[in-house]
Amino acid sequence: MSISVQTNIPPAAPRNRAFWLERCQAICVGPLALLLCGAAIMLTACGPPPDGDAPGSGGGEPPVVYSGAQPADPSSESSHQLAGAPTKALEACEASEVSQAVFHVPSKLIDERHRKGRDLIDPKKDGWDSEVISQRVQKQLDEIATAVASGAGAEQLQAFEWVDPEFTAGDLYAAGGQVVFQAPQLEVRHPTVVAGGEARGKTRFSQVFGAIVEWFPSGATTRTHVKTIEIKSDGAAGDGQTGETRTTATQHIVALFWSHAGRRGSYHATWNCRWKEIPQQGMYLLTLEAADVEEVQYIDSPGGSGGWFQDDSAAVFGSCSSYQSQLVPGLNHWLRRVDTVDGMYLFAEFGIAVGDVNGDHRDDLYVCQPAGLPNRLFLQMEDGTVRDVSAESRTDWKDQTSSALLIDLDNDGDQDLVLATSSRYMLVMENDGSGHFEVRNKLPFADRNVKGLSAADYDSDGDLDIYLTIAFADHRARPDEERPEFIYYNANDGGANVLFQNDITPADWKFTDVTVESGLDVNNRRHSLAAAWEDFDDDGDQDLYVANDYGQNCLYRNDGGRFTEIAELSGTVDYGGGMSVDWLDYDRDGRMDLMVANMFSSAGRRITTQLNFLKETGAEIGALLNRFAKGNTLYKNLGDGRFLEVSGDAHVEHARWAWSTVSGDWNNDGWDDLYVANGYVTNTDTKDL
Amino acid sequence: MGAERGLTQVLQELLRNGGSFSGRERNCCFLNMGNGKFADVSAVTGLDFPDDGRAAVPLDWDQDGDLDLCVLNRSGPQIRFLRNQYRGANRSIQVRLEGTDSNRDAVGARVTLSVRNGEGTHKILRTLRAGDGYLSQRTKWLHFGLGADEHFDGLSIRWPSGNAQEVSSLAAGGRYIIREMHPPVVAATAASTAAPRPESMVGSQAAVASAAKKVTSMRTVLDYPMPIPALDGMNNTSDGRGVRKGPTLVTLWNTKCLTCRRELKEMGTSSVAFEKHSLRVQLFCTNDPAKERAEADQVLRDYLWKEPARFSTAKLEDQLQVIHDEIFDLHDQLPVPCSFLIDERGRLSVIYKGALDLEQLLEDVQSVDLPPATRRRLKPLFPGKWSGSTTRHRSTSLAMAMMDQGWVKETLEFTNRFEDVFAQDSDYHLLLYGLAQQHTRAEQHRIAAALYLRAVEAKPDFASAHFNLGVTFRLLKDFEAAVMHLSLAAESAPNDHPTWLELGKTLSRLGRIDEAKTQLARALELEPDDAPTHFEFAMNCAIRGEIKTGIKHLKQAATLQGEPYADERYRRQFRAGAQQIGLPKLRKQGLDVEPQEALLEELTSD
Repeated sequence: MSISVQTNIPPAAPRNRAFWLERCQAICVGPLALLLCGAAIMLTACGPPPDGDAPGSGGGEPPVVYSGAQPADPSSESSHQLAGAPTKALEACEASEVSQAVFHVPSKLIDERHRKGRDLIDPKKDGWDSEVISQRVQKQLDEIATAVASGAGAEQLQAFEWVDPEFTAGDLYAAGGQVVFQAPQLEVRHPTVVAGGEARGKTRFSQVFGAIVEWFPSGATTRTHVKTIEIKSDGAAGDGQTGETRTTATQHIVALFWSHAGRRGSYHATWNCRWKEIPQQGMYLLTLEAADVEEVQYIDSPGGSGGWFQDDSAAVFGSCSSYQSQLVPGLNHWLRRVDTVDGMYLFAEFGIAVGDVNGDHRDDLYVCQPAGLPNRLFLQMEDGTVRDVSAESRTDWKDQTSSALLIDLDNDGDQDLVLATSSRYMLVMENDGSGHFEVRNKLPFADRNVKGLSAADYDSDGDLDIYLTIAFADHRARPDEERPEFIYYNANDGGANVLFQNDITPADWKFTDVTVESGLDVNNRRHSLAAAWEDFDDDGDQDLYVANDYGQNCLYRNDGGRFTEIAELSGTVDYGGGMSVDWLDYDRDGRMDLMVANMFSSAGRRITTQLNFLKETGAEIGALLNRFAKGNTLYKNLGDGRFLEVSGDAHVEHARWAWSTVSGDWNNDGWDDLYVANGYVTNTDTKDL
Repeated sequence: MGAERGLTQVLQELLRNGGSFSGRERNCCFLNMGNGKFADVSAVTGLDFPDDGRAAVPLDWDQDGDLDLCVLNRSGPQIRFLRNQYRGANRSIQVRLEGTDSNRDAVGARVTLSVRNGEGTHKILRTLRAGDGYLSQRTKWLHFGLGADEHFDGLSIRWPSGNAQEVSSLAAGGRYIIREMHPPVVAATAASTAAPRPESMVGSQAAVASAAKKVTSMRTVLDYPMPIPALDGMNNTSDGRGVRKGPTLVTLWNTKCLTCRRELKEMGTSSVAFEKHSLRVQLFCTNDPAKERAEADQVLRDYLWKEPARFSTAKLEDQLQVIHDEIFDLHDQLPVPCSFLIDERGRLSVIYKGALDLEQLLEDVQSVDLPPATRRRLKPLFPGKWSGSTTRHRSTSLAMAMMDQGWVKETLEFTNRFEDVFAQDSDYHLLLYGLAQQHTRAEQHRIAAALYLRAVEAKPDFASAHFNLGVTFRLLKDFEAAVMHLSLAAESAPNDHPTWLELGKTLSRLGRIDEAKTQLARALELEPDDAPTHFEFAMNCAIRGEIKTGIKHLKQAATLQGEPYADERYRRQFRAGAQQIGLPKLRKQGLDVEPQEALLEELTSD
């Protein structure tokens, strides 16, 4: 930090695709950028705002005088949209149509924020040529996708202006082809698509897309999704004067879906396009080839009232008033009502624990909640509905709770409860055997930004020890510590994860922090989001894999209660924003393989391969950052202590901004499948960053 | 820090103001095809909700032999139960383990099912884990899908204790409990045949919609009343007898808002109750006073208000917005009506977004002075208990947000008014420092100095503040004070080059040349390639008559500076400095040392 009174750096101009560009900036700008990273953190991970270093230097614009009320955007989701009317009598107001208008306090301050926000996501404003092209191409492909899904006829297909007269294409879809998976109700096929094709221009365009139109049954409900993941232009854009053109290659992930009369179908493929850019006119499609085409058909169960999985939340939880009043609205609703000092924040997250708390052999659910809302304990009843026993079980904590475990800590045959709260301690509660809980210990730790809990008997002494992961460090709680450097692609400055060793006696529910002596303090501050135990080397003790945001993950090999960090040695570093861990034997070779969730970001994929990005980051870091956007990682356990990444071959990478990526055999065929819960922050604005 | 804050603030504000980031992404489901590849079955399974999914646990909730899913979301609905309805012929076996030598839950046990089919024998592996995925703990029932034509030979269990156990005589479709080294028993609860038929999948979605539509007012009680700045247009002494007793309710309203009118009507008839509680209501109309004054006045008259309408200023609205944004992490635009209950010491007690309930308001008025822990229990929403203690908002945070708006004067007033509260904040010194910087920029050096002094009072080893204080005092020509604070800065940050440089310069101005040279030498140790330091050092040498050393540093400064004119400029200044010691003496010293040099000649010539 410079300490000259002359220091007055003007605010940087907002830039679009801010997140990825910022990665570039964070690396290149030097020491100042480190501070930037500190604050930028909130965008990717999920931490509370890091502590500021110094007061603001001003630069805010003076408020502008605003006159007159204006209705706000009526489409914005808001439970405080209030009715009003210009007429005098209240009764008349109620009857009036105008009373549906929405009122907010007019605010130039808010308008200004929105303007800055819009600028930020507008690629035209920051000279990212490739992003401007990407938006244009995306728009055109969205148009054709929408057209084919709504049954466009040949005439309509011929009407697309952006098809070059010399356009050529291979098949996008063909009936027949290899059936790669078959089961009752379900078939997966790889259609044989032929490259090339004789016809050209709009005729060919109409042919290849006509095949897709036919793929959709008439009258079906349809859905389309096209994502642009790569873009490469040969040279700079012309100025529109000399008639010069350039060619741009783009790659897209395409997903199409229909459902109709108890049947469902989906189409997945990668489309590779080449475009001719004529300055001031537009992008003209030159070629289109499909790869990795996969078609899935599913027939609904006879007598069933929906698809393979059906949302039965209302049937299970509907009889509890807490479901309707607390669990249905979602975080955005509570963000408007709960004070931030209680621990409420935009990136709050809350987990779930399954266990049988009353010994009736039925699984019950402990559901964590954001700050200010009491956690819920749902007992499963005989009929599959639940009863909310949060208050009577004394587990209705209102502290921001990120995760919970139901485990038998004292080996007395019932499920005790452990909670990770942002109150800087772990709450340990004893079950009296009937599903009533009493606090037996509050285990302190340094940092507030707690994430996951996972238990195992790491020292093989017959009781369960608990590992807690923490993302951001709480610098306020560490006043004597010199703040370590934050490196976006290789951070090791987060909060410290903790291993609590179970030393419970009947009189004293004691736990000892053994992080250091067990050897788990190595690479222990890498912004950890999740951890899972597994004896991956089949030597009889529990090893631990930790998924870390901002860089490297950790694999701790357990050798009789003492850990060695072997991520690099074992080939499981997995640079990226690690979000979750699961172990499964996906190939049934008798060894536990490793599934790590990461974010998949098409914007990240596009930007990190651009030359002007790489120019700033350098090839090596650029490649790392590109990996940050690549998606989930599946590691095959080779059995000799090493792992091999097979994500691409296995087709599990493109799972978006992934969180829980969990395995289970959804169709009882003896092979483990995967489910990915994903998505970062959905808000009222439908335009995404 | 303008640059860093500029970008990230905008980014964060984008999300806090309703922006999305990788939002509406559909969840995924991948089917293992048994050939090393997975098929994307996200859409056909119906699992691809566009929620912000987080935790997920597979479990056979309805005990029909297949795995259902329970998913937790950031967005609403926060929980979904997803029932597996696949009716393939495949069956399963599920086991629940109970450790004896091992931990009772048998967490860490590895269970292997051997399966035979036409192609040979293979194994299905399960490990009992407590905590995997993200923020999730799955069921302790281990589930084995059996495939269509497969026969299983039995289970082998490797218990965490090291015990190994082989289990046979299991039947497909069964649920078993296996105690460590004991034979399996069939689980007591059979699958409930009367599993509830779901009302419909629409159920929860309709619930979402209805919850979103319901217009409810939002009342948020602050545990610790929060100091806020004086609000623009607020009349603090309306009764003309100085500071009045009792709380104030500030309400924004608009003539075109039905809810506002209802509220005004109700409040208009409650003046007696308000007086009883010493509650004063200040209404601010958000209409355009130029065009709608008459209408606003009329509304108030209709509802028995005695005074004509007062209109909110843009400043007031922005102030309230900034205060709101301190309390909530989603920075929605304020609705009308909205009300702020402020206690007589000027601290915000309760915020009401939307209509307020008058009875509730009067209760809130009575509880403004209750202790924070009690106030915490008065919060609306739902019953439950807190494990952590309550805390207050950092006043410095609000003050800094105000400063970001450029409201320097108001921030200073606010800080002074609640000095005792601010002093409890660990970053109070940073706020004072920031305020001082603003005054420095405005060239109000005396106010700046006073603020820097308060900053170092709050944090005596605050090097940056001492430094700026030193520079400020020098600007104010108080060189002694400047030297003192620069020395303190140097003490706290001994490796900071600018501190030593400024200290040297200031000492030089005081004529303490030897000391100046010592400090400048330290500065040069830290930054050997800093041109201004070399120049400053040369000047002091000149004054001392150490011409040869002076010239050496002068040349270095000119070289490092790298500008074509630096050489000439430095020489001129150096000559002026050198001349201070008197020309004859200088000439003599210079000539004694190096009789030639044209440069020296030039430097010392008249």
